[in-house]
Amino acid sequence: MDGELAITVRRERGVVIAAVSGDIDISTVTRLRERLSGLADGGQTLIVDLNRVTFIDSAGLGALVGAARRADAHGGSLHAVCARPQTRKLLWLTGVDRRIPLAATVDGALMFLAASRDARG
Amino acid sequence: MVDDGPVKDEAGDGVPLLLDLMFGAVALRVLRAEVLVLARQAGLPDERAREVVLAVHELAANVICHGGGKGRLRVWQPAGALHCQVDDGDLIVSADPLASLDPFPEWLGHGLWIARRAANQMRALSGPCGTRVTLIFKLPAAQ
Repeated sequence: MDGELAITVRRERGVVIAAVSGDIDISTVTRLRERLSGLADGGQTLIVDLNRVTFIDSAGLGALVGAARRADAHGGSLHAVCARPQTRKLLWLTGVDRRIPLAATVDGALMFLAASRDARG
Repeated sequence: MVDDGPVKDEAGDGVPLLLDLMFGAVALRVLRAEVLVLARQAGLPDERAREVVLAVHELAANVICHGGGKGRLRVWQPAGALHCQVDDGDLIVSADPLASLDPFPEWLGHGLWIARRAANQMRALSGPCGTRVTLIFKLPAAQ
């Protein structure tokens, strides 16, 4: 239930992976929104790893959807990684999972992306 | 436990308050931790307890973002349910809360939607003194 928000960014197989940990709420969401916006504006394929997020509220979901929209607008895309049942249920309940492709692991998301790239030729 | 003076206040419903917390932006993590403990102690399984936490958090965040910036959370547990009540600002309860009922639909944001979905029952009252939302969560029957 505790944990400062931390965001670490790395690049793997041509994809930018932002690993988020800690609590995302109204007191930390601005930092997340700014970081994801910066990454989304680069027009890259972006994976947001939420597996170490201990709490996310509606403001956090809004930041994810906003970043996904920005990524689309810049010719990129945003994918989320989340295995926690509570967060997955919230993403489903709010319909966010219909706007942002979801995988349980980073490897799963990378495989999904590689497969969709292959499918496009 | 709480002296609200001569005015009628349904908080507690005759049972002791488990929590009476004034909150502002910095204390929401504390609020979540407190609610998680109470929800677990009330007998809710972990997954449901975290839904309670999210719902109460969303109400409190709403108060901070769109209300007076600070509010009050009270939790009590009458038979078979956990009641979590969030007051916006310095709400003073009128003798008949329904007399000042004046819904503000625009107040309903995503957070409130989440709270309403999570709770078994949600009661909201708005009036000149502020807004009060009570979430009611059913507890599992005692074994």
